[in-house]
Amino acid sequence: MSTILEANQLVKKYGEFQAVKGVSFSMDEGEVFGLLGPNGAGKTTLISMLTGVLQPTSGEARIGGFDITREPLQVKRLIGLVPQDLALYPTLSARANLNFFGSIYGLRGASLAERVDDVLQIVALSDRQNDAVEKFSGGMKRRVNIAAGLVHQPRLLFLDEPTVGVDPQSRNHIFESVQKLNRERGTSIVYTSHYMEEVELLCNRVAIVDQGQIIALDTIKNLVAMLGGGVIHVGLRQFDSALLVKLSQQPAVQSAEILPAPMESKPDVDAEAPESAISLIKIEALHSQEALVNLIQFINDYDLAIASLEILEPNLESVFLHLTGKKLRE
Amino acid sequence: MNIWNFIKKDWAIFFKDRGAVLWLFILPLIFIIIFSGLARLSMGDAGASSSEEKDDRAPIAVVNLDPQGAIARQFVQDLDRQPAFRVQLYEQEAAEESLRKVKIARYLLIPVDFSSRLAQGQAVTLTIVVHPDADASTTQTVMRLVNGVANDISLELQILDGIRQMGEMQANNPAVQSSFNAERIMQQAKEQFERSRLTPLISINERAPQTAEKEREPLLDLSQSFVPGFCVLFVFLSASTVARSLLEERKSGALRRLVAAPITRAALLASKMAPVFLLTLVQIAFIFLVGATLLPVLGFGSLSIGQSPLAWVLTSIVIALCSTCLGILIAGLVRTEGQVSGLSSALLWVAGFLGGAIFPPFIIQRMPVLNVLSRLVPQSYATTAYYDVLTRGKDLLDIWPNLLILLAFSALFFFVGTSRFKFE
Ligand SMILES: Nc1ncnc2c1ncn2[C@@H]1O[C@H](COP(=O)(O)OP(=O)(O)OP(=O)(O)O)[C@@H](O)[C@H]1O
Ligand SMILES: [Mg+2]
Repeated sequence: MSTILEANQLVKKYGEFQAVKGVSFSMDEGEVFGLLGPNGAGKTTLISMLTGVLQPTSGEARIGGFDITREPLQVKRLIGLVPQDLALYPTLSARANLNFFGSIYGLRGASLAERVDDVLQIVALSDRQNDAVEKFSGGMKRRVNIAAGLVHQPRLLFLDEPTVGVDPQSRNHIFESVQKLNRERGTSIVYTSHYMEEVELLCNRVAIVDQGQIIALDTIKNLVAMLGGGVIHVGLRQFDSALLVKLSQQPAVQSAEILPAPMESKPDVDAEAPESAISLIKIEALHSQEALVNLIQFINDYDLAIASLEILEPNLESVFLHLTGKKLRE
Repeated sequence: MNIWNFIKKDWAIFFKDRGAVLWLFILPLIFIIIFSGLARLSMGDAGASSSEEKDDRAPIAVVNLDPQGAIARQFVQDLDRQPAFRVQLYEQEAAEESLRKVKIARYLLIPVDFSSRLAQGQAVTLTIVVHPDADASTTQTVMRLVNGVANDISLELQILDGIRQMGEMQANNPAVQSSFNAERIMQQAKEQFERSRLTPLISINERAPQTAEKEREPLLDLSQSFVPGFCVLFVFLSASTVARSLLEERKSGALRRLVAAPITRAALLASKMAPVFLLTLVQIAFIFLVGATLLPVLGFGSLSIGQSPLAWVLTSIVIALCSTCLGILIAGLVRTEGQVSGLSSALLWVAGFLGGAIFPPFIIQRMPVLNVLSRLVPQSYATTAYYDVLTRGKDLLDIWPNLLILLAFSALFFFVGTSRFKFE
């Protein structure tokens, strides 16, 4: 397998603010690569640099062997971009939009018409092709938005949150289109989302992005395996570090740590009654069921009060929570 | 990538926008008609001088300094008999005064010794005194007709003179009587005719009035006055069409898609300029077509493109280019679309006013402060170039400095605009 994309220490600063803080990864031809991260993680900024929309502040990247800053035109011939925001001419018909976006890649005449027919079929909009885009539903607009990035048959397609604000029916259409493109045409795809279900369904490998950095990058299987036998979050009152040591020595418990207090806990309440403060403890288990039984026993033995209990499912959402202590979406 | 795809796309978007079409084509028309009407009301008939060409009996002012002379009287009568003219006799002072107040655009001056010199077969010169802002093509027409009448008279005089000479010779020498047959007379007449063609007895020259430059009021020549100005005004207003279409493209995100396509940014901006540039040329052609066809039907003077079509075409192209580049500058300077329709449109109107696009440039340039300010806006050079070409009969050799300045403005606008424009 050849490498289609290679990014090395990409940095983007907006003034003093670093939106992307040295991102490196590489991607094989034919791969569907997920970028999973919460709002403001820097996914769009990263994609903008890779597609030549933004100049990187530092770092470099190659696509199909071409340097993105030094050989932008060669790079741009290989790639397609489906921007996060709708990027269409609302008063023009779907077909006119696709004709135009195809034509800027040098397509014309019969071959252009053929490709436009083809992508209209992929996004299942052939019957509405002559209607103005502004008359479409949100989901249909999204589908045209995707189609516009496909007309020139890019080798590498960047899809930036293609399913935002989309009804389930359109969402399924989009998933099918992405899979079809990848399996039947061999298109490599970078898929950005903050829905872990989408990424789990579509992607071979996933980079989890937070605050401008890739904090984990692997296949979904390996990422989920990071949770090991499972992760349990438990909120306990009157907990202290001595108890933490004892807890971490329980059978089937691999490690235990106190998570920093969440923002919403009110400091003045804590000050008045410190003994009632809740500690949030993260337990990484070798085996979650066994660890849970031991945990209940432990709580009983020390006469602790449970404030909350959560067993993390083995999915990317949990991986994200596990890695950052934050939820992917609020 | 092919620029035609951009043009087709932007035109498709443009023509779906009724308001934009109205703005580009209908509004200039309404302005021209309303202003021409208002001007005509306020100036009475005097302003309608450009209709001289059309009117069968247009008045021509004549100052006859030789009122007793028989030939001068006959000349005036002959002139009056021309289907195109109705002679209005003036005293010289009154004529100068009328010229100064722009009640007339030109007058014909017959010198004191007109009859006496001609009677002796000596050459004389007629003078046409022309207001500097008078329509050059009308002046040409007047000159031609006066010339025609003068030629007839001088031919007549020369033939009569020839016959008189022959009569005298015959009286002195009866021996040659037999030779004065019809054939000989015809021959003589023919020779005289040839001579009068080659060395006409009556010549015509053209000069400006004697009044000092400052006292003179500029000539307001309805359509010729308003159409070029409004053309410039509205062409420059289309700068905001460029800016708006660029900002809209950025706002919709389509620009991001285009930036990710294999097109350089300069080419991208040029592709955004081309559709409006071409549309502006169509707009200019439309305004002039209406000026030439519809205005006469409505009773206003017709609009001509002047003596030099090349100068008119080049001026139009340079003006359209300058306005499109101004659009790029606006797009580079403002942040939102709202600012384009608000602030920058208002500024374009002000610049249009300063540049003599609403009131002709020679009016603006007579006011000290406005005169200085007007030099800062490209519209001034555009209107001046148009007026020179359209109403003063000037050609490329006369107006090229203005075109050069407009090109310099265009380059400046494009450079600053492209370096300031944010594609994100
Ligand atoms: N033009 C800009 N100027 C300044 N800051 C910006 C700009 N664009 C983005 N940012 C900041 O950079 C950070 C990353 O933004 P980015 O849009 O890349 O995030 P994202 O991961 O795509 O988020 P989302 O999931 O909401 O689309 C954010 O904090 C954002 O506020
Ligand atoms: Mg984003």
